Amino acid sequence: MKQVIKSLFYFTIAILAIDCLLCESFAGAQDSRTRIVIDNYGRAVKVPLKVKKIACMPGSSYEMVFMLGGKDQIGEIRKDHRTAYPLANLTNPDLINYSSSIANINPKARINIEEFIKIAPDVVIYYNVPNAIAKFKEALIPVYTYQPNRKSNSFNEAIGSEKNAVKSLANLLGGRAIKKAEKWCQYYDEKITLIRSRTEDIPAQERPRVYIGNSWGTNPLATWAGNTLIFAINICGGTCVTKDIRGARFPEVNLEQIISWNPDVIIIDNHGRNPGKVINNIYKDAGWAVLNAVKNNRVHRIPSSVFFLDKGSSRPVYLLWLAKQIVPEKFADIDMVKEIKIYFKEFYDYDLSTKDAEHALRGWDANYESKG
Amino acid sequence: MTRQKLIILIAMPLLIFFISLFVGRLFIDPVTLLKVLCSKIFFFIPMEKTWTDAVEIVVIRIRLPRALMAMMVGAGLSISGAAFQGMFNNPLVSPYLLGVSSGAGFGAALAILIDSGTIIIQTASFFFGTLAVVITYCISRVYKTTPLLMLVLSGVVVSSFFMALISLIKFIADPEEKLPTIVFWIMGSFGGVRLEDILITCPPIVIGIIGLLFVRWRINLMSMGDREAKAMGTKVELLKVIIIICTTMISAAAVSVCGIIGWVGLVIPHICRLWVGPDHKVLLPVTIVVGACYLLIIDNFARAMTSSEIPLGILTAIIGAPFFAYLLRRSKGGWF
Repeated sequence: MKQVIKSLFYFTIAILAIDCLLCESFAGAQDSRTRIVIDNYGRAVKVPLKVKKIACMPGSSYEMVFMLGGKDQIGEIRKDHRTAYPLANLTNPDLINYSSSIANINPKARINIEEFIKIAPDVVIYYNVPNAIAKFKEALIPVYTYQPNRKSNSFNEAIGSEKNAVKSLANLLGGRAIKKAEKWCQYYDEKITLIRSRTEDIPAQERPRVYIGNSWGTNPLATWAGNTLIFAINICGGTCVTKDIRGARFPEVNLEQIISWNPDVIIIDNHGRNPGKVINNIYKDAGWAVLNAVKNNRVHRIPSSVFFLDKGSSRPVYLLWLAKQIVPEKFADIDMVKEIKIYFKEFYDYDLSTKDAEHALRGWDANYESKG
Repeated sequence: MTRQKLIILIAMPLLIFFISLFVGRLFIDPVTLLKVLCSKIFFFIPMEKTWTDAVEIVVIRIRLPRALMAMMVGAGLSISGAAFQGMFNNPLVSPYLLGVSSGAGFGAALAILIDSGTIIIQTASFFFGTLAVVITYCISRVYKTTPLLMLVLSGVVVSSFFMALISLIKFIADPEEKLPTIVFWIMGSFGGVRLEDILITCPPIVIGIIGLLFVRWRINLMSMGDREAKAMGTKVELLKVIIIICTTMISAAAVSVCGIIGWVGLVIPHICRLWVGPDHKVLLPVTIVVGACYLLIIDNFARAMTSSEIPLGILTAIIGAPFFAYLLRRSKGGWF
């Protein structure tokens, strides 16, 4: 018996040694053609020197990569991104031709790793979901996470996290993207300084109360909660009425609660196929009619962009728009049509026509078609 | 039944209903609230309006319909549960036994998935809820009879099938928009109830309840088993069909407006049995009252406890389970 155990022990040692040697030589062979990048959550990811085939999976990833000038480095996008955002198609006619074979991507979905092995991307940009990341690692597919941290404790921290996300993506793309990211960070800082300079001195009791609804795309009673939103509304001169809700990120409230908050401004999320209808229903409903926001015609739909304006790289424009909706008198000189056109030119390298810009600001109704 | 019990049965729902109108997130001082109510009840007497529109909207258009709906659904689900438990002679049966909830859930999820409005969601939900029960009934029908075991098993089959379809829809649904709507809907809520919904939901639930009340004495016979009931001259098959139609109308209507509210239909009948005994002639009317009060109290918690709405499916059991456990221990299970 002893003999058997002994030989088993030696055998295991031998196998392990061979395994290590193989790994070493394999890794060594890759070194000259690869580089190590650190993703936004501190993981070291080994990618080819020039990344050419990126699979963009999280919601804003395509838009961010596109903004950073990486449109030729994209190998795979989400299926819904091919057609769901008209401005994305307008700014990038090639969008429709990208491969999009992977179904059902969301942070809670279980990934089918074989699908990813089949498309063999240089790197997969994915959500910060440990289970999924472990699967990618097992399959030796480089996986990169960039999304900003949602649990910030201050606005500066939140913005820092957003800037890090963009810089981190630029680092992955390499080349000109790094300069573009710097330019973007500078642009963000400029806009925030502008907004802050006009809203900082508004006393707490004069700040309009703001409610954001329709976060599920079908229901104005579905709202948002969490620090990111509270900070954003605060910096834009308002008070977030849902600031005391803890726990769920997209809780549902009842109309009585909204009436007791009595918001001065209601922002309707551009989710779903018909936010315009949600707003019409709000104006028609006797229950909502008692709210200040409805009485004063201050129910606004978030504008449309390459992705949702309030997510992804277009957040600076969104914050400027939001500030203008919350305290219009302080931003009377800001022309949003001009601002959005500048953003499209500077960051998407696209000349947005005035008419299209106006439509984007109105939320880009499904029936509208751009003439370019 | 003693006079004391009778007084409690009449006074309790009225009192709880009245108190519920005072509960909510918006503070309304009781005098104003009474004035608003009086001005609506005695609309022919001109009254000076000293309150804001917001107060009137909250009392008349939000709290009142919600309280009425909670009572109606609570009453309907409890009496259906009691009738089913009698018919199947089984204490573990709930009104959802024959697949009505999973069918209705599937209908609603499907309608949400294709972006429909409230009315289509309710119609689809009612339709599929009823369809599920019809399928269950057809599967279990052998030699012009529907043995209870066959009914139970077909119910399990149909429920599982529609549950799988719901999961499939959840799997396909957009995780940021549709999925939360579907999940929240399935957990049950009176959050979206309006005055108009009462008018739509009232007829099927009330007709169903009246139907069950008419046959309540015969359910006693059924609980002895099919053969004994038949021997005593009961038209068992007809009775089964009546009970199934009534409970299906009630549960499909309830689920289509408020989502799947569990626990009430299962446990309220037991609580009532503990109180008034197992005679369905007395038990059924009592379940109506107790069920209505129970769901109304739970809904008051759901809408007023925190600023965000708490799904009913969570509360009914979290509050109900310890209470039921207490009753079970106290009675030592001695009423079956």
